[in-house]
Amino acid sequence: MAAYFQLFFRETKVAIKRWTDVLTGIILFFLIAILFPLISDSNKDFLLSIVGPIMMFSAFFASLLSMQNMFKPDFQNGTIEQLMLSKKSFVGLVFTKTFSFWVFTSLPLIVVSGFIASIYFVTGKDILIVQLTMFLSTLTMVNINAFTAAITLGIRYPGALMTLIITPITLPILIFGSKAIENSILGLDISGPLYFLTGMMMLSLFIGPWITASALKISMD
Amino acid sequence: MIIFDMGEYNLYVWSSVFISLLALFLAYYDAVSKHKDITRKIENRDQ
Amino acid sequence: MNLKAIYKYGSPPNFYRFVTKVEPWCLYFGLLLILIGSAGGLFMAPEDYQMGDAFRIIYFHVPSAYLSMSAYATMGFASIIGIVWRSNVAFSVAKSVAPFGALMTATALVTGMLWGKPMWGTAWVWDARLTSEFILLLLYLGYITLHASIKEQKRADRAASLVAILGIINLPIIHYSVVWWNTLHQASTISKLDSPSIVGEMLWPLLVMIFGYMFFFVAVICRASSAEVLVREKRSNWVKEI
Repeated sequence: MAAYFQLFFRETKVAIKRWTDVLTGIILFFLIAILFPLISDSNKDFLLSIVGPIMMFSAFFASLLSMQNMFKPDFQNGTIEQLMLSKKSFVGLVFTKTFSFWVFTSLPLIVVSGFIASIYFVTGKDILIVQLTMFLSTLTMVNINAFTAAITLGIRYPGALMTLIITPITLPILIFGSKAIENSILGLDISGPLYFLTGMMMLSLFIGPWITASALKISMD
Repeated sequence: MIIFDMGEYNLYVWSSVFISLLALFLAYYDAVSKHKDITRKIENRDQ
Repeated sequence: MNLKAIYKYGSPPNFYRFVTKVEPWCLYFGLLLILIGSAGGLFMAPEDYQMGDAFRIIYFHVPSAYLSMSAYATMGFASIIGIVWRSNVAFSVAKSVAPFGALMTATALVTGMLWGKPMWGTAWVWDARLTSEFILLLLYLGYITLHASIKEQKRADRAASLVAILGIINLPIIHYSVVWWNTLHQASTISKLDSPSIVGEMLWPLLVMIFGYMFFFVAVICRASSAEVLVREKRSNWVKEI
């Protein structure tokens, strides 16, 4: 158990040292979301109608860019091989790594999303729903991104390939996430999309590390 | 020629037919050319 | 079930010989069925009372869509076998199915658009079935691209197989999406349990077309996977005898 905490602390130190990488994702999310009210006619109805898709899209895009740094530096300096050789469960270590990545790149995003939602004229309880949706979907997306980053690990310039693999798997999450936010703003029933998002999150939390570990093993030899 | 006429949907139906048959043909042609390439390569190498 | 027989065909030379023998039969039979089905569907079936002649696109749209899903199921199943039994033959089959499946998915999408435009006024709508079929196309393209990007054969096989297996979950979503959600796409006309909601003279060409496409699919896979097996085994002795 202590080994997992140790890994988490190590990831913390790495994240602090490479704070520019961590910040890139957050700034990208902020920029994309802020750009839309600025460049369009910012009347309330229009903004309220697009806040759902914009939030999901910005989160998706920001995660696309930051995921390239998930395993690459550690792959290059041999850390991943060390993790594979250790006595602890590799799947558990991968889970810790993925979770710490989420903590540093997505948790600030969730906090910021509340602020951005208020710029889109979202009020009161809906802001909490936006943050909840962000929480559920970023947790799912980080597992999917981990798998994709792991599987494209030896390839030069994997950018387009990663997008091609990630999009089909992430699309349902984006669709249901924006539907949840839209329904909440319109006052409709939000339990349907939220149940789906929670289900996907649970599924990805269990399958994600396992399938990422398999992908890493494949990429290693 | 009457049976070939699909009324106002002529364009849509016949282009669907064309595209579907084209796809089938391309799939088979791709498989056959892969097969030919590899058999030719093996024969060249063996003789 | 005789497991020994399956293991026998799992070996590359037996697989190659079996597949090369089977292929012409499947090809000609499949083409014959497609010819009969097209003639029946395009010329003999009566006009639909609601849709006029445009409904004839169904004779190409439905087999393509059906095959796009069966091909993916084949690819996923072959990938599982390849990973579990480390079988080169299984990976060859999976790799050969991918381009065919992608073509079928694209055809299904395009013929669907050509059907939708005159019928419902719109070529595309982001409802559940169309979106998940589009996702299927992306899955195929991702598989093909991933396989092509990794230089080493074994790694490419296993990495791409993971993607294929992960995408299997899309298949029930496509199939049941018209049941679970209210979509623009119409519900199934043929079901295993109920009697079909389509009249006999319109039904038989559809079934003939589906079977014709399936045999054609088998023929294409035979040819492509035999080529793939040759590529992988080109240094071994049994190849020299052919």
